[in-house]
Amino acid sequence: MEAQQVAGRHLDDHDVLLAARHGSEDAGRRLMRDHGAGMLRTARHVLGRYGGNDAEDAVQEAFIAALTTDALPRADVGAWLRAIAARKALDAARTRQRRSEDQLSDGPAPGPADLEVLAVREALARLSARDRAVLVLVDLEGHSMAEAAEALGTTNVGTRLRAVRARRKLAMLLREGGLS
Amino acid sequence: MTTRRSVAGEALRRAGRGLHEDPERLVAGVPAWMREAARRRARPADGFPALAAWALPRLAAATAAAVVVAVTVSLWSPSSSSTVSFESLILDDGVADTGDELFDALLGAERNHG
Repeated sequence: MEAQQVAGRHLDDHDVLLAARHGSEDAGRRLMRDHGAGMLRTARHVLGRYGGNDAEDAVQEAFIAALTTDALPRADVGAWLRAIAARKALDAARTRQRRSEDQLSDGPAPGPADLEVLAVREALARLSARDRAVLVLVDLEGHSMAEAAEALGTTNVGTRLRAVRARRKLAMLLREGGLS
Repeated sequence: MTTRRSVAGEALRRAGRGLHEDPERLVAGVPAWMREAARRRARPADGFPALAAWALPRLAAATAAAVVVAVTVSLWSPSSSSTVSFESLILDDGVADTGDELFDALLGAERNHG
């Protein structure tokens, strides 16, 4: 596949993904340029930390997984990549929990986050990583319960129950913080 | 009407405000990540997990079959009714022969020593 074609956007995202799998660095760079920021934001939401490098590590693992698997996205490549990023961030959150590093500080949050934003982040941080992953995939990304369950390696019913409980808990936390 | 679903989605959007992700740092990492992906793809299909996934269910089935055979044989064995129970050996001095020479010698020594 010609690098110029990839750079020149003659290909759609599916073709770019296949080209990257076949070793085109231009295609890989284009995937990251087009979808990296979204993947990073998804990973940060799931991790519940809006600073630090662990979200970038999750994106790296997601990118490698996307090139290593034989599976193909059914529709939107960006949404598919973000779902993989959510899964990898969830794995990273579990590892972090096992290592008892949950108390690490976030470090300086990038950007001018105001107090309300910080309060919302704090409320989200009080949910479990799995709760956040379900809410990110279903309520933010618009995936179906079945798609979210598949992405997170769990059952449809379990995902549905988790979503209901997580929404209720988040609504309560936001109310308590005067944010609803 | 505001649903809890839309509340959660809006909360996540609010939490993401102020984030200005720069994909160029990620883009710079792509060549190394692609080498890692190629290395993982070239790795022989995860030898041990693949072998374990093939062997473990078969091993479990073979074990279950062996247990069924052993139970069936022990239930239908004609000699099972003539075995001497452990309790009778302990309680009844009159039992002289268990059919096991080593066990008989051991019991004899115990009896001789009181």
